[in-house]
Amino acid sequence: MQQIIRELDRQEILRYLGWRGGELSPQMDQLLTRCIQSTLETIRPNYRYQYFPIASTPEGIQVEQTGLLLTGSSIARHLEGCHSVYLLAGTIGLAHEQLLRKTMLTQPEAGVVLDSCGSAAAEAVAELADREIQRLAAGEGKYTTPRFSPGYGDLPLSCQQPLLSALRAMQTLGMTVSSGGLLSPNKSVTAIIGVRDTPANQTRSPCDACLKRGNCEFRRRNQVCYRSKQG
Amino acid sequence: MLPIQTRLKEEGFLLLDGAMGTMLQAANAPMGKVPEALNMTHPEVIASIHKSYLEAGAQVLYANTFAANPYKVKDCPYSSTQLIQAGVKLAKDAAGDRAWVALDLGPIGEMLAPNGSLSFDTAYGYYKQMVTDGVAAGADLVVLETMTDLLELKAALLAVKENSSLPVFCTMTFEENGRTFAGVSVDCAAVTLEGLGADAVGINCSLGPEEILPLIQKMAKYTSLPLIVKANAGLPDLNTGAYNVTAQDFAKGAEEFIRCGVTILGGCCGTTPDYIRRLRTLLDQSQPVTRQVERASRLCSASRMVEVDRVRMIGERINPTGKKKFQQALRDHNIGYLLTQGLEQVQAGAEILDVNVGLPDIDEPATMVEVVSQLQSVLDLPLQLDSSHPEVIEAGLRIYNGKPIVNSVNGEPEVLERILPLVKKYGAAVVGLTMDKNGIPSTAEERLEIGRRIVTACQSYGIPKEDIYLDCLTLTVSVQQKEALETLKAVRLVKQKLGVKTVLGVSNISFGLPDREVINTTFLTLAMEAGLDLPILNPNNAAMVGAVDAFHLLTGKDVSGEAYLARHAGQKAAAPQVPAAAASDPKEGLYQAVLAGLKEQAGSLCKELLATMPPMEVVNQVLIPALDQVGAEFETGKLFLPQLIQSATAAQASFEQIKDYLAAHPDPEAKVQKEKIILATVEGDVHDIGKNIVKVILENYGYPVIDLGKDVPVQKVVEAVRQHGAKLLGLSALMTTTVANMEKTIQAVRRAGLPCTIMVGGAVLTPEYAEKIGADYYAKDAKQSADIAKLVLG
Repeated sequence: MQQIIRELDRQEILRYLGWRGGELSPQMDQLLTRCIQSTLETIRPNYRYQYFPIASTPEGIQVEQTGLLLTGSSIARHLEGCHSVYLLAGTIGLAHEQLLRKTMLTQPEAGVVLDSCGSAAAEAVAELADREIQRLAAGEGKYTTPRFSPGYGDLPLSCQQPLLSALRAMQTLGMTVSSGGLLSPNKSVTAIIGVRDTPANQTRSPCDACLKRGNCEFRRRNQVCYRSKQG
Repeated sequence: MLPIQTRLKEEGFLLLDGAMGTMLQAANAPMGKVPEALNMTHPEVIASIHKSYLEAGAQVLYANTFAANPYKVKDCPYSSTQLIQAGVKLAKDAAGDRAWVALDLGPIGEMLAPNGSLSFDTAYGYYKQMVTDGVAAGADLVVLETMTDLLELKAALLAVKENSSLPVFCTMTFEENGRTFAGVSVDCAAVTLEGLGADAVGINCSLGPEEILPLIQKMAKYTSLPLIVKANAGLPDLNTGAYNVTAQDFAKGAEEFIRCGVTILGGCCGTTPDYIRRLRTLLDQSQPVTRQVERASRLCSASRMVEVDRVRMIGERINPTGKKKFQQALRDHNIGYLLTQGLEQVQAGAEILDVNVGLPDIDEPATMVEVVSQLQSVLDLPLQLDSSHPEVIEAGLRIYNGKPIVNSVNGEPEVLERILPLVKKYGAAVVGLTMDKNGIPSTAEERLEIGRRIVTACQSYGIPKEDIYLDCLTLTVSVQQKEALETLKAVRLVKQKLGVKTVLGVSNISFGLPDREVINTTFLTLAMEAGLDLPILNPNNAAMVGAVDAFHLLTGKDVSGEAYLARHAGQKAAAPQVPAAAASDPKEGLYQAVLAGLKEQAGSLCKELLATMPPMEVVNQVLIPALDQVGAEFETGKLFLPQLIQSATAAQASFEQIKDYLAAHPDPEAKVQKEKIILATVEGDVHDIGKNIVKVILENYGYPVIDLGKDVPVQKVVEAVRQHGAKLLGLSALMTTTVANMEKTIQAVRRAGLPCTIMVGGAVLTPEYAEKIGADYYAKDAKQSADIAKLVLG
């Protein structure tokens, strides 16, 4: 079994599944334990990140030495005061997806739990990489922004391909993107993390940039779909 | 300069070049969207890199064409054709008559289905175009490299073989665990690629020499083709991207490669002309090592190798013959049913699955393609493609990801001439039935003679002996009693005299007799003793599987009985985890079983109840109220999604009982069958988990669901609605980008004038948005989709 991700957050998985608290039946508890275990045994967590300077251009923010141009006002706001970024790509691999396909056919109730376990695992990979980046930046006396991904706010999904290319993510992580902007493996994360010399004077909620903000099941339940590490 | 084909026939080494990307970075070349654009904008940079590798001693230059495919260059000002032709020309100009030039093709950059939405045919089309362009520009060979999906590599390899006469090298990229990102194993890659006619195979990228060594050693055991290694200069530093193996150590690593028989060497990421120069010196001082590769009978998927070194069970259940439910599933496009049949057989111990989708009134080639694609997306057993039509066999062979077995040919020359070239071209194994136009000969000796004819014909097409499996044919013992022994004798004879493997359908033996299991198991045991390698049987029959396990134990194939114990020890322990509900009243019992999501109990209680209660009353008085309560508890948050599904599955088990009851007691008045619902995840979207949940729930409310799958073209949805006269259509889309296709699909259904209500769902949708794109209903979850179905269809 891989040793990179050793546990998953049960509460987070339950939240993805629409659990609204209360007592979990013993069968559901067992099911959850079983799915977490098989997820940890199946995933192949892997990630890459790299540091790039950025430059403001009339068309948007150019990530230098790459073909990545960040357009739209959301990312511009997010990177205010930043002189460079870390690009990040991480995934839990295809094997979990294969297991999920099979399980959805034979035990759909376990399938939906596995799916949420996969999401939690991908989030854990992104967290792990993010923390490494924060440490690196802190070591140089810099500050980092929260992760911002293509598809948030008005940052287009067409950024996925040049972002993956900049990290050579196809060769090194097996990550690709479809013409519709979908990542493969499905449980993958890409993100842009800004680097600045001074701490940001306010932390912004990722919900601010979210299209579902006005119609969100999580917010209605006083929850969020991401595990907030900042703030 | 000699054609490289001639060079490949000689003994000796071939030195490839080193990294292009690393050199471009070092030259500070502007990295646009694709590095191949430099072929047009900065040709002098590319030319000088080629020259430096040539001077270092490389004999093959890889043109700068790795990602110049139509998918990757779509946002680039130059076409794929322009970039390929310019790239090959630059390399040729640099090489002069001192080196050969390879058209270098990598992965398309979008995953093939099922992992992505790229179809096999589209991928093939891209590669075909690039190969044609490369040939026109004068490439000497084609290199397919850095591949992680064996099926994509197969599409590329077929494109090369079918559209050029150039030699082709295939290298895949593995992780340290010996698998590619897509799960392809080293042995499966080697066996499949050799079968498909690659000229050399090997490993490139991802790892350094030290990590690649055990992998190439393994590969060497599975192919007699020349071996290629193009390793990275070690592993990159995450932060700086610098590689950690020096040119000197790289050459030292290459010594090990030469020792295990590698003859084609070069460098991948992180290597420079210095690394190639060191390799040049090494090769000039070394002698190639001759390899002894043991031939063996092997079948494989992309990730699982099945060596026929003992009895291997072929599951026979994916076959519509005599199975009403299966036939209906095929007609209704209910692939899920077929897949479940496949998975059950895997669970029961099958090691190969026979796939037969022959029904007179369906498009058999298209169905074969769909079923094979779907099967290989959920299970990893090698498949046996079973059809009497060559075009069905070819359709299956083309899309199959691995080395399958073709079922079947016989001793008829016309059949052999039609099928064997396909078997050879696609590198499959083949079943030969020892019969011809005169039927099945009655004596073993005559069957041996037909077998001999088949083996000779196979060999004339270049199909090796180890890929031939003769079927000496089982006849029904109640009709032709003497023939049982003839069949066994024939098995013995063909093994002894022809040295090939054997296959036999076992269950026919007992047709028309009571207690068939006893006869089948005994016949199977006798046949295994006579030398049967591949019994075709129903693995869900524990006695048959047990006979095979016992045979392996008794003949010492199953060392220390490990496999036997794994399957047979502690089998009885599996008791129901939850105590039966207090079911003095089966009606209440069934209600509670559905509520608690107990599938087996719900099934058996329903069966019990049907003895005293009409089926419609069971549905209306028990199942629907139970599902309604589950639904209500889900709404309030008392139950959550997995529980909703469990209850739905329990209800499904009850509905199955009711269907069986109705089949046995047809009553035209009792109409339990409801209107069909069509479901699809729209074009461009491959996230289908939500749609799959909706399907489970709808089916368990008793609606027959036609599931069109994911990434479904607009027109296919329209056709399905029309064909099935569906009154309700459910569409799902997960991404903002694919919601546009949802709108297109809705418009197309409306334009076709089909009286169909449309409900939509998916993560990014809102009720307002659903209305805006013209849907009739927005379903926020699976439960709501069932409510809508009830409202619309009753």
